[in-house]
Amino acid sequence: MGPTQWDKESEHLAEVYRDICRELLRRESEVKAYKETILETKQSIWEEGDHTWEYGDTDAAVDVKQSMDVLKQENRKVKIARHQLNKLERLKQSPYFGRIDFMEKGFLNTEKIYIGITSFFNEEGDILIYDWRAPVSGIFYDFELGPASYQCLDGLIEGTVSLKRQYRITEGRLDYMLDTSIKIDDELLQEVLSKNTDEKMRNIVTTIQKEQNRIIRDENHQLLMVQGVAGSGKTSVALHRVAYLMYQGLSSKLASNNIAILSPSSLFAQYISNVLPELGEDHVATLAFEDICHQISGRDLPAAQTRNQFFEKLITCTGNQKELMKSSMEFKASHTFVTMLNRLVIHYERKLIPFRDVYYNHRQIFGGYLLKAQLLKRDTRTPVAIRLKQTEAMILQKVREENKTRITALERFMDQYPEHTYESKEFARMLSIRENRALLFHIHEFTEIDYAALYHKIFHDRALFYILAKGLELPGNIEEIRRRSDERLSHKTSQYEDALAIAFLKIKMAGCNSYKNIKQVIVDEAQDYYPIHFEILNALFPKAKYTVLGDVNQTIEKQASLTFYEDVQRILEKKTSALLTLSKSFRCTNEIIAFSTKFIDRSIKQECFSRHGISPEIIAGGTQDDLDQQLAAFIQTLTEQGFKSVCILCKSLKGSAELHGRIKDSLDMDIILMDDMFARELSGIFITPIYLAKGLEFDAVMIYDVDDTHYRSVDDRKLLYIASTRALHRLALFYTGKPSRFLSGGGQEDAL
Amino acid sequence: MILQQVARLLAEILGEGEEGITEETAFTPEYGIQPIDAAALVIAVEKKFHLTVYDDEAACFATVGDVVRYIEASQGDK
Repeated sequence: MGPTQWDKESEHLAEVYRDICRELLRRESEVKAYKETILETKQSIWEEGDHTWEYGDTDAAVDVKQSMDVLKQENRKVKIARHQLNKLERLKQSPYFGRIDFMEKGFLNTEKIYIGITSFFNEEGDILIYDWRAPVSGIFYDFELGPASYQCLDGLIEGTVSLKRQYRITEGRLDYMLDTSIKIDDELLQEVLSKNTDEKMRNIVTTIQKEQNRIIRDENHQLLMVQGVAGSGKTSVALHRVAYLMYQGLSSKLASNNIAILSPSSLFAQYISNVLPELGEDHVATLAFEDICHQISGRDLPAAQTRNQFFEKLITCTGNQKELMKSSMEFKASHTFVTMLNRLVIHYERKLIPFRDVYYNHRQIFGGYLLKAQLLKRDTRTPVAIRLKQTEAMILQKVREENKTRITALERFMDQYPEHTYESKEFARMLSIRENRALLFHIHEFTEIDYAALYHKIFHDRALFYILAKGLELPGNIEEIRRRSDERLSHKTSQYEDALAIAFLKIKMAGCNSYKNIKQVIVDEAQDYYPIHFEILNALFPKAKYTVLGDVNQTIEKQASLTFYEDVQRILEKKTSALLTLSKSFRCTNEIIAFSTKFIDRSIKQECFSRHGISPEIIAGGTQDDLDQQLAAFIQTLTEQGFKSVCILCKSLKGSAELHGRIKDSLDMDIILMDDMFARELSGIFITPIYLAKGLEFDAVMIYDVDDTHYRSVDDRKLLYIASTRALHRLALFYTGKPSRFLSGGGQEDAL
Repeated sequence: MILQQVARLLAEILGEGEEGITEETAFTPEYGIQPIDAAALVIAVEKKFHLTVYDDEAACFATVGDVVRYIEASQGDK
């Protein structure tokens, strides 16, 4: 009997493994050699260099600079070699995970294509492993046995797939192999999904689905929007897309610093931070929208409410206050208000700048009217703040021309008083500096913009407000919104939406160059963004391409439908755009998905990958003490069953903190209260509000206080959907008193 | 390095040791520095580093660090 397929594959693996080990050794000695050069260079700087040269000693400076350049070069080489070493170390663990046998049309030989997280060539230059992002690897994700094709630089390559095989290799040993004739969603995926969740998000290269692959590899659209149900892998897909674009970018120069990933929180950023390094790519920094706003206008608005503080307040307040908060947010983040802000920018330069005459050395050097006319004559495509700085520079230029005459005059004046104790040159200079300081103060009154004061003026000056709003449709309670905003801003406090509006205003008036290198923007959890968020993004990254991912069923305290994506498209104004959907959920069991769909708009298709588990449980307590005890017992059972990440979700942070205070000592294990400062790995028992758990997943989730007081409105219903779909394996809902109207499936919601 | 040199210039003007002078040293009476000393420092810096400091720029110097950064920026421009 000849060797079996298993024997052949084991032998092939052993060969590849040997080649990888050989390459690893070669790279290690390369790193060693580079390090020795670095050490020698450092020693030579130390021995020969002069460390205390004085200003003007150019020879010594040139020598040191040359040595520093050598050091820089060698350090760069070490960095590249280390990067390669890391990739090889990862390959050594598991060189590949898939294989396709492909015969190209018009050829007679079948090529065996092994696919792994990165490409690998042997010493002879033969390719042994193809990167999962290589054009040919697309066949593995997109086709079954039979005719197949892929697009590459030479055009469309057609052929036939005669074998599709998946492997699990650990520490260089073949554990498992499986020939798949259909899709990558059978045994291997079942096995991956049935595991407990990791502390951090893992890569999914071995189990990418056809519809996910389409999103990952899309290069035809400048704006790619993805509507994906909870657990459909939106974030994973986004990160794999980043890795793919960086791989493709080898030729078009897309590096990690050309990509911006916008994530909803620092915890979420921490959670996803492993995926790209696992895929052998540099970490791409994630930005929170708030950080961007803070960077732009933090100094103008130091006491702005944060997004999480906004959610907390909105969730915990009731009645009129809640209605006002929501309508204020909706108005100030709307297209209407953006139009008003754009009008304000024009109005400001024509009517609101307090130009003054400028005097120096006892005469007028510029008239206020002239300065205004010159500002309006300058190119209006240049932001007004920059034009004002140009005006300031023009004034100072004149002042500097006159400065010598002024100092001479001051010195002469001093010389009239020979009894004074100071050097007349120094004293005259001191007087001149003092005069210039006063002059600058005077000039800054019209060349510097106080953004917070200008923003306040919109609400404080009723006439101005309605001039800006002329012809626009305003909400019914606009006067209440205007008055309350005026009051709050008078007390130097501002809401989350004010921080957004001021950031937008400042970008429009002063421009922003901080992000000019960004070519690709990934917006995750996009459904929580309002038009003004996208207006800000468009102003910051006007030339970038966008990938926008969201789920209109997972909004917090706001309603959205599929028209949301039309708004995004309208604001970002990209020539080519597409909306793709991910309708299959992989995270939760069938039972959890079936349960959670009662909380959402059923017009959006939701399928689930066939994985069964225990049905969600609804647990009632007679009193709060009783419910707390039942919750503690439930957690105890879950941890005994081996669930590593367990999360109790409350509606608010306040509720979470109270519950934490009551139950933290009732178990032998630590129970961690996760607030918005939390940024650790997700292993353990946590209590947190639902809005902070967005995008995260846990083995088991318990939703607390699901009574008809806490969950009764249309927004509450969405919170229950978000909370339920955080669970991979187990879900339980706890309540006392009357259960939420939504638990029975139907349930008429209250307006707020 | 520039800090050391600026500190030395200021110490000479004040007639004190340069040990206590840092980037945070402010041109205020609390630090024993009068406006006339700051003006003298500007003149000394111009001479030592072959620079022209305009008085509108000098008007913005609040600390020794500001002067150091100004010199660094001027050298970068050269």
